[in-house]
Amino acid sequence: MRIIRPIALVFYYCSTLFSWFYLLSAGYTALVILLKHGLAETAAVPMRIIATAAKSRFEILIPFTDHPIFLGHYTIWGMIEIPLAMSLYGIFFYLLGQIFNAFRQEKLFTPQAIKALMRFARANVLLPPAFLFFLYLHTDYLVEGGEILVTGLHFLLAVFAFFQAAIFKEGFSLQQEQDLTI
Amino acid sequence: MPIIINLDVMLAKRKMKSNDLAKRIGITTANLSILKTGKAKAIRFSTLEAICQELDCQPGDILEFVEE
Repeated sequence: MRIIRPIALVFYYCSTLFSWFYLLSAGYTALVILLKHGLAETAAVPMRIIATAAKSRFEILIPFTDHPIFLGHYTIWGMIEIPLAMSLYGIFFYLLGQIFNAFRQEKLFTPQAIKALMRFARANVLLPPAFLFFLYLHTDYLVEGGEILVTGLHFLLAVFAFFQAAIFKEGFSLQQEQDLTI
Repeated sequence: MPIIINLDVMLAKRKMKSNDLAKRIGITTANLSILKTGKAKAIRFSTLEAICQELDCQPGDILEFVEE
């Protein structure tokens, strides 16, 4: 555990940082899209709409610059998709951080650690297929192999986390017995 | 639990307080309390040996089996 705790600390802070990045990006993107459609056309909102013969797309720009950071299809669902996907990854990294946080604690096998693992497992089983289904229903482009592969990887992560939770439950039970051995 | 720890009886006979016994055998007062109240799942031989040493008794004086 002497080596595990510092590594867990680093990964906990990295995960938390990524979580904040994704959640803030989701908030920023949603705000920009709402402002673009709520304010006058001449208003200086960091969003560009590019209309082509085939289809329109939009670009969200880095604040106070002309460089695009996110882009997507200029449809209602296309504009919902990006903040939604980023929110989901924000949640993913937050839940992952909670698992690394559990490995930092004095006692490894705790009910909190088990709950963190189960929450992570449930989120990875439910949310990616739900998002994939949303894409399938509401966007006008084909859901490709890449998205299905990512969903599959999340499912594998969920299975792994579920198995870890089972190991932790066993560990907690043994730990309690050990604690009550005088 | 069918196994009962009769520490209070021996402590009274030897006129010793729980805190003193806990200190002498090297366990916390909380752990001794867990032992006395029957919440312990197991006892180490080393702990039993230390208790018998301090209370000058046999394991049978402290441990009792009562059918449920």
